[in-house]
Amino acid sequence: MEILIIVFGSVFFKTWIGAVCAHILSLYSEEFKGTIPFLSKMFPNRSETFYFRMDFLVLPLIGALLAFVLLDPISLKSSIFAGLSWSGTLIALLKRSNNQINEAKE
Amino acid sequence: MKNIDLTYIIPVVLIIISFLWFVIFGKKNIEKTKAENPKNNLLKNIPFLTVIALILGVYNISYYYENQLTIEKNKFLELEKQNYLKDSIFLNNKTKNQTVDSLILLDKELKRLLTEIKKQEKITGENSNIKEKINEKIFKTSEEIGIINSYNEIIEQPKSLSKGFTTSGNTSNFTLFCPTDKTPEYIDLKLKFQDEKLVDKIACILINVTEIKENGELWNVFSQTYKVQKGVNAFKLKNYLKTKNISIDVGYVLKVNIENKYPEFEKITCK
Repeated sequence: MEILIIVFGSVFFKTWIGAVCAHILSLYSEEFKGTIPFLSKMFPNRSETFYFRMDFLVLPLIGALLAFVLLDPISLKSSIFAGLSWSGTLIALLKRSNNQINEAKE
Repeated sequence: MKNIDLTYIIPVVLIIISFLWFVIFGKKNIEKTKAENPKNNLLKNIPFLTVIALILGVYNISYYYENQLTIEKNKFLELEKQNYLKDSIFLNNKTKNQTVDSLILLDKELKRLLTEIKKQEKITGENSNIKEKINEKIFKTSEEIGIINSYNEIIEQPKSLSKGFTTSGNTSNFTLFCPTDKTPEYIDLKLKFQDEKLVDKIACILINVTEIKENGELWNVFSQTYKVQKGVNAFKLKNYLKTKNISIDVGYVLKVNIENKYPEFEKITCK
């Protein structure tokens, strides 16, 4: 129980929750592909569900790590919003680069 | 856990469930479920609503605990001002015990504040500054309790002593440093026995303050008996040495002599 309290009370967990929130919100955009184009190149010939699952695991984790290291949040509010904003930034960057890849393909 | 915590915990649990839902079932299956229930907007919007609920919950809980922290800080500032350690408390047992009780209560309250602040830190972030100050005050309080308890307990004077006692020159059974600074309002007297085995044989420690009048008469200004203790025996007195022609006799009476008509008083005199 104590370990659970330490884990769920940790700043990184809160930042990760923020990052997951950002990723959940990104699902409402049909265009957004996240890390799927990258993952499909790294692990070719896998199912669409596999890429989606991997993307859902990897992207919030990267967002949370970036927010945790760069913003060094201390409180609950700053942790959640650091995760949300950094993941959001990452999503925006990926969206733009994915669009550029698609345009180049066309 | 307080009810207000649920405004944060419930959305967090829902976010984790949503996360697991997406990871386990994948987007394709979720889209399939949505397609099967095209009119069910709620199912589509649950993750979005959960995120909104979480954001609101975070603001709510943060606002509440930041306010709580301000209240706790103000409480600490009030407690910090409290100062119980006064020289006068050593003059009688009742005030001494009351002061110890107040200090124990203060210590408890400070520890409670510290625990509360530590709990709130999960929401408000590190508060090392206030925690440090509380720890300092806790240390100071326990130190004050230690100081008070280090002074010998005042006991009722045995009846045989009220009639008088016999005494000779200064004893060498204990060491006593007489105060040299005659300006302070109160003085500390500390004595230590050369042989600790003697402590068990002592009935009480007696401090007797006498004024020698110009005509040569002796006037008893102050007389108090204390329970003997091992190690250092400490006493705080009003500084009678400020007045001229005053002598302070500090010494002990043995158990074997205490019932005598004029018990023998082994003492050292400070002038």
